[in-house]
Amino acid sequence: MSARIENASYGVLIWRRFKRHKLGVLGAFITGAIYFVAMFSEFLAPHGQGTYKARDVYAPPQFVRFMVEDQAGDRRFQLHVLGYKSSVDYDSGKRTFVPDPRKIIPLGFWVQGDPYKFWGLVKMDRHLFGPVNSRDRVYFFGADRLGRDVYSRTIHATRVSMTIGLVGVSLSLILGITIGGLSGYFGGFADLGIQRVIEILQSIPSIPLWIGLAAAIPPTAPPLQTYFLITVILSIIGWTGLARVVRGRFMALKDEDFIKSARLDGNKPVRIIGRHMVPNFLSHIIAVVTLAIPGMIIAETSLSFLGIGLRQPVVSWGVLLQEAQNLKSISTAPWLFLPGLAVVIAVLALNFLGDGLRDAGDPYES
Amino acid sequence: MKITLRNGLAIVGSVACAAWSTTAIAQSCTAFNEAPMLAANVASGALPPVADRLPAEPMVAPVAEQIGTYGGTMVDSTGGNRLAEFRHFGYEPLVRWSVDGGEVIPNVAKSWEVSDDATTYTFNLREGMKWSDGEDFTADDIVFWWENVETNLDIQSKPRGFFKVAGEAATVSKIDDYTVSFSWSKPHGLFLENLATPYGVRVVQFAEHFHSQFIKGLNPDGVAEMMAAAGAEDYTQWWTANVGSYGKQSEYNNPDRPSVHAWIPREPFLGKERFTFERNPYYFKTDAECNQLPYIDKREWVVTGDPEIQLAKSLTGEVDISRVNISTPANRSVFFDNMEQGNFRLIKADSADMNVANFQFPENHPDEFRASVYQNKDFRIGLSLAIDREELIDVIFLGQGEPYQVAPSPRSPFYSEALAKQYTEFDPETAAAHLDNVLPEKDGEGFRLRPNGERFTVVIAVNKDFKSDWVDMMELIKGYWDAVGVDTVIEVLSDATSVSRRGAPDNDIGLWLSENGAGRLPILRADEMLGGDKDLDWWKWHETKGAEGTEPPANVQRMLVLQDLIPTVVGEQQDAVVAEYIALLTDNFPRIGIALPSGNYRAVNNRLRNVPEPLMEGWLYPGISPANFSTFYIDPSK
Amino acid sequence: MARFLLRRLSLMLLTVFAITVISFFIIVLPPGDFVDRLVLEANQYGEVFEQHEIDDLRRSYGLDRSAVEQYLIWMRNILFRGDFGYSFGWDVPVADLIGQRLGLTALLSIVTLLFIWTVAIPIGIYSAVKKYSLGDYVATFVGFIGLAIPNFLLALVLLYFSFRYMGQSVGGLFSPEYVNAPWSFARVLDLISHLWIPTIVLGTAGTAEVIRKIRANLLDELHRPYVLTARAKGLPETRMLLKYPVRHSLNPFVSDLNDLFVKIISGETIVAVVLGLQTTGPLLLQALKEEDLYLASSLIMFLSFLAVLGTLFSDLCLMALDPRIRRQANEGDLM
Repeated sequence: MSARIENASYGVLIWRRFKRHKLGVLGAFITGAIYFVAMFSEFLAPHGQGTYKARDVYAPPQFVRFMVEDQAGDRRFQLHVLGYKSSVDYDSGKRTFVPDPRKIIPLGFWVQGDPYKFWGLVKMDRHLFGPVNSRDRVYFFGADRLGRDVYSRTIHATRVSMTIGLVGVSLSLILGITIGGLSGYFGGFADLGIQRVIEILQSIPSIPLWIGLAAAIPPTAPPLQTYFLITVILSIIGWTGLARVVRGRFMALKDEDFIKSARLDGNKPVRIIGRHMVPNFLSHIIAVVTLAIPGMIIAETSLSFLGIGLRQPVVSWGVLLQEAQNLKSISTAPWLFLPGLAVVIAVLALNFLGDGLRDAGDPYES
Repeated sequence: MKITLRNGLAIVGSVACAAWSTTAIAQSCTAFNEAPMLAANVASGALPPVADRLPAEPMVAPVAEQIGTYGGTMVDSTGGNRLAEFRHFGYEPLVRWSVDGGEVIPNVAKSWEVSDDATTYTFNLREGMKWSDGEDFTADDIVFWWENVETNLDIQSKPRGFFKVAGEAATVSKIDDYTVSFSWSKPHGLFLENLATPYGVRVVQFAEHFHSQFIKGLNPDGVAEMMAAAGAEDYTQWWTANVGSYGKQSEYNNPDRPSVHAWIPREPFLGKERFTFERNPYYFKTDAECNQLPYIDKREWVVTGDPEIQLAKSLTGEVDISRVNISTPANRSVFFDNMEQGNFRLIKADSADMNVANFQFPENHPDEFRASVYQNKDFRIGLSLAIDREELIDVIFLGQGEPYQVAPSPRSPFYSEALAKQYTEFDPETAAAHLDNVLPEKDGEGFRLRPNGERFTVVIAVNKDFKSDWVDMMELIKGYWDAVGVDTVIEVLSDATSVSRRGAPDNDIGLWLSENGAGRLPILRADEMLGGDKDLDWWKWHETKGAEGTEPPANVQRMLVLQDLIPTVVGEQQDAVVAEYIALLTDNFPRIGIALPSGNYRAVNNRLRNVPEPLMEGWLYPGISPANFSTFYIDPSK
Repeated sequence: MARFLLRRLSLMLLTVFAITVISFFIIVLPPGDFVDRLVLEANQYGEVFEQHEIDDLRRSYGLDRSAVEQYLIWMRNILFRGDFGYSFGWDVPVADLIGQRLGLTALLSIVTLLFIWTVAIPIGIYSAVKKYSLGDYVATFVGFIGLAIPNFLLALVLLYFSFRYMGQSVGGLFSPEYVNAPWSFARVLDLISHLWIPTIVLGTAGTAEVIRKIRANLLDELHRPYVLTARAKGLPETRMLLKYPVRHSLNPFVSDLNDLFVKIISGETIVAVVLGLQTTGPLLLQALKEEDLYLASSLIMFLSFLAVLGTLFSDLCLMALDPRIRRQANEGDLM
């Protein structure tokens, strides 16, 4: 056994340790699946994210059925959902939807639907699974207050929510490693000053900081720019934690023999940091980073709740949840909370993945 | 006032009823009844007997259902530090709106006379009426308010606009203890109506015997002492914080401050999350059976800022009347589901508003081409015909309401069917035809172009914190306008970002409220139907008589002139001016409306009775406070 | 030791001063002030302010002066008169408002902290001891589910559940009849019956971090030689666990206590807004939205001061617990 450990490469060792953490493996699969959805969201969703049908406001979810019965009484296989007969009752304030057995909406694969530009480049209109007739609409997760399909919107929101996490964390990472590294490596006054700044940033309650920074976003900014600025805001708080960790590690490693010898060898600081110090805690950093992404996802939902995050036409899970955040949704349209399920799954998956990575991080530990 | 058969009868009827009930009380009340809560104090001599506490001719308030019983506490919610909340503490101006907002009726003043040329308004107060501390309410108090508060430069730099005619401030004179007059050298056509709005309430809120101590000019040493004790340096700041004028909550915070309202505070309440007012033993109203009002002993307020919590408190039955901002068509289903558990009923509420929303066109936009497009009536007609109002009403307003333009409400004496209904049909083809007259060129996707080939895009800014259903409404309207080739972009703002955009000269088409449609309200703010502040250049030209700004077209000039004329004439002359104004509006079609507001309601606890149905919402008619809260009573059996 | 304290205190003052400047200017910088917001809100229900009324209002609030001037006046009042300024929105002095709400905020935070400990420590210990077992996975899952569900969502659902199906009152930590009542056993029970929602929502969000830490620390400890020795010597498992490794693994926990506390205080804002609680969080949020200058700045300053104080406190605790750190401090290495 020990021979195998000594002869195997670093990467293989980590993989072996990782495999032992079952939840971590599960997390890895689910995370991969979510990012897959994020990449191909327009194709996977039956409808576009903003298309609506005014008559289907608050339509309940429709279940996929398999067998159709035609006039002759024969039954055959046809994936479909049943359309709704709807009426408004002003007195009770409700719109009632009754599934109509005569309104059959056939479903199929590789169907034509709402047109889109795949990754903003290629014009397509094919969807993986959806109504065969492109004028029909299907609501697997029900419809929202404008008659938009919640299932499609949740899928489209995946892209924004998952990438905000990535982009935000990358920014935090860059800031954190640079500043933390400088602080830890050079020490002295630089360290003192940076530590004070970090302490100030961490002491100010996050919400006023968010609101203050959000006020700086021009309201006329195009959605993509707003999206980027929001990630900047999120990462401004996030980098401090990372910087402290990095600094701590740097300070610990600074006095190690191999670093001293590297310095004595005449290596420049940049090379010492990059070639010798960073790989040593890289695995730890990877774990911390993976664990920071779900934090960003939740923070984004909080920003939307406070009203300072993303807005239509950009759609994220936070935007969807903010629209659902009222008593009316709970009591009459609870399907509006299904994007919350997506958040839970994503956050759990990323957390387990991160835990698994961290556990697997140091293969030389017994 | 315009006498048509319909409202003529209504006026005669209501005047007759009022006369009947007033004379009834003067003749048949030999003894008055009072609340049991006060009995102990009267017996011990701490309070005078009820007949001495009421004026010789108390105001008789009509009851919505039946004569009520004394006792109970009514619970209400307040947003805490919202400016509008003060109207819920009470509505007791000199003269007030009738419950339906159709006319001005007596309140603190028992009657009035208007001189033939409308330059002098003389009000007769009620002899024997007292403030809540037992001191007499006389004309001195009104004169005191005018000389020491409203025109006091230490407190405010100018009196409120409607107290002036052509820049001349009113002359307020005491004729005798119970008669006071307001006069100007030129006629004032809207003085009574303005007095009935929230801005008129201030006239009867300052008791001379109490407030003189706070006036720097009358009590310099005392004021200096008080200010030093509070550590204040600026008199205006100190006055606002401690005494308070119009709308400041501090106005009600001092329990020693005399008031004419039905309920008064017994201790300071600012900053508390739950506080109570108690009945005012000197309240000047009774019901038709000689019972001194109010019936309800106490009013309790709970402070809640969050709309969902306000909603939840109504659903659980903790709050007796739901707040207007949560009583929306969207929430109706939640209320309905909880009606039994919360023990409340849904009462219909009308809106005093003209329209659910309207579009304002910046006809003086700095971009000349854009300005010319907006000035073109065909453009506005086209946009209006392109809107599928029925679908919009169905989706956003739960099917309640009818398509309507910016015009007085159907029951208002100024109603004009032409102005209200023109161009409300859904007709995309005719719309396109009208638009073709303005922007004929289109690109490959059907969007209309400017002469230089660029798309003509309109940007509509909507504040989602204000009305979130406007954002939904705009999504639908964007679809309609895109369909006729007008590229529409929606800009979603929040409260924070709205502030920075106000008054920016390059703001595009605006979406805003359209209020004051019921009763006589349309002429109080006649400029709302035309829209003055968006067209800054034209308005500036009119204000400076041609010195600055750009000259508007003749018809717009005439409308601006008429707007100014309305408050300066009365009676038939005023009616004629208003008629001409409305005819010009119909012809010019300056604004696009959407639908008549409908489907409003309030959730009212079943124990609370005598709540009129329908209630009415509004601002210049300060809904729902004119609903005679003092006649509400609690029926514990329900 | 004294030198260390002196240095830290002076640095702390510097930090707090910097924070007051930042917090003041965060609010002043965006365009518009309280009066603008007031006018905007008034317009929304149909009120129209005449321009002279707006100017009068601005003057009466002292907002017609420059930002720097306002800051200096505010600081001067705090330092020389203990006067934190006036809340424009509530029409009461700031100190009164904050004072009223502090008690409940502290109570909620402490109860939440206790909840987190009670739930997280056992799960963490179990998770470390039975590493990679099914129980480990289930316990971890349960602990993390609270972190994954957005707070505002959970709070709203629990709120609806509590008033629709349990008949509880909403919008505060007390039922209406107990709000202004004097303390009694019944009032305490009423408080507890309302505390469960915010505690659960905030608590479940915080357990994940703590579970992780305990688990990681304990795993480290369990590999140490002394554990092997204790086992070899025949010490029963549970006693051995609790006597040594658990106590040692709680050590680094103390240093993060402060972080946890700060997180709870800032996390409670969202939950308190949804549930309508009278704590400092919603007060601050509303003050920020309305640009209620002195209230917002004072609150931010106060909360930041608490956070900085907390850091110092936890450092002192660490020093008390760990002689190595004490030595570092005395030698000037600990910042």
